[in-house]
Amino acid sequence: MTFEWSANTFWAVGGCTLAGIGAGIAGSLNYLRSRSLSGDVVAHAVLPGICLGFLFSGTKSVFSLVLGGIVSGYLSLYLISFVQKNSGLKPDVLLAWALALFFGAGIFLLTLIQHSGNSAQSGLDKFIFGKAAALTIEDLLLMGSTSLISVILVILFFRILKHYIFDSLFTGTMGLSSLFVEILCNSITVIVIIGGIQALGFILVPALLVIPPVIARPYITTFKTFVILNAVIGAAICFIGSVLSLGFESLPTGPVIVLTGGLLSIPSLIKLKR
Amino acid sequence: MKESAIDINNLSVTLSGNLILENISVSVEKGMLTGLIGPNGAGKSTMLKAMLGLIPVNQGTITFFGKPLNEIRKEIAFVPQRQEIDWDFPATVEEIVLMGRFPFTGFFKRYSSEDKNEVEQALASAGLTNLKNRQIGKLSGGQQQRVFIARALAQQASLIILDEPFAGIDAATEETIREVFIQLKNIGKTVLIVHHDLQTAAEYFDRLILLNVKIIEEGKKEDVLKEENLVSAYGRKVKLY
Repeated sequence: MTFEWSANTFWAVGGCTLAGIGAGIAGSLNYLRSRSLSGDVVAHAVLPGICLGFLFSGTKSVFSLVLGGIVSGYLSLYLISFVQKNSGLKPDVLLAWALALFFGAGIFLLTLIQHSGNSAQSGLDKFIFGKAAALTIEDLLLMGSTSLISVILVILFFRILKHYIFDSLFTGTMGLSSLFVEILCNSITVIVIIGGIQALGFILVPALLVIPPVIARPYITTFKTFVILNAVIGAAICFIGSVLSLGFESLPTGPVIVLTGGLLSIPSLIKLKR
Repeated sequence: MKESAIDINNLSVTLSGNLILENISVSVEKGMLTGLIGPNGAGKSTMLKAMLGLIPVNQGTITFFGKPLNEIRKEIAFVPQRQEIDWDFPATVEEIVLMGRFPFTGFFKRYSSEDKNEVEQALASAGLTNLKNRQIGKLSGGQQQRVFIARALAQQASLIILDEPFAGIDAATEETIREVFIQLKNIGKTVLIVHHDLQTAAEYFDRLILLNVKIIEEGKKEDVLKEENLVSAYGRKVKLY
């Protein structure tokens, strides 16, 4: 094992770890809302937005790509609530439906771009598998900010989230708009996915939202400790996974992070065994 | 004329194309224990939710103590059906009861020592003091129901509305909860309860509202529980013991 603590490894390990914090927080909220799959949907739905961002701006500037990703990611979740309200279809089928729809659109656009002969497009496919080993200081800042925003939103609206997720009828009678909380939760998910996608790509980033609640589940006592524990677990699996993968030259970072999380969830699953 | 806690005027509700409530006009008397009864699918829960602004209504006006909902939300405590709640949610008994202090703290202010005291008292009244640090998921059905009642007590609301509080709990707990309701009535609170058991309805409540899409009858329990009313609500004879 040859581990050199160069600037690049620092950006990679630091970036992944920061992304893990936000992912853990978003994952804990989605888990409690029985919307664990929404991370998957958003991650796939971000792709068409990124492609459109590129098509409109003609460059791979982080701003236009991220903006496009946020818009389409958010749109997917809004579409799910809208169709659910108006059709009465169950959430699971709508989550899968929206995922497929947006992903199809994303691949369609990506193929168009790749065949367009525009040389600036090379590297867009990094969003598919991520580029954890090649993260830069800009990526680290983006991932740090997305996690920081999610932390601030959860602290600021802590009681609203807790009360609403537990009993939305109670908060409803108190006059709290459910639309507001849904937008809040969706925003946290979208922001965090945008951050994590830099490192893991959209195929693996949802794992960062789904795995922490599975590991944390046997140890919960209060909403607060659950959210904090998820953030810590998210950061820990990203840290361990990225250090491991960077230590062995040929190991891909994203998959090693996900496999680390998978292994760490085994003791929790055993503990939960009835 | 008796003072009323709730006045519903000409309320109609349609859900997914079905008319669930049709021209409901009814009042709930202040300081009374009122039961809202009727067959499954009669629209009992829908009526509560429509009153509280939780679902859209086609038409109708609802006032509480003569005021619209928005001006008087703090005075109303709503206890949902136990089955509508995910009891796996990570929280202790005390935390859920603290939710009842929301009208006093809002969503941002810290809980004061007065809030904590009120919660202690509410826990004691509901017989939950020694369970206050217990995970809500590790409670029995009756204990979970008492947590919600304690939350309503901590809110110090004048009007308490409960959706099927006696569903799925044992006889001893039913008795405990009933005693709490009687205490509430004795200190001047108004309690409206959705109830499905006709056998106990006469015993538990002062007044009844018999609903099946429309109001079949309302008023004193003796008048409401007449055979012709029950036949028109349930579509057949119902034997009362």
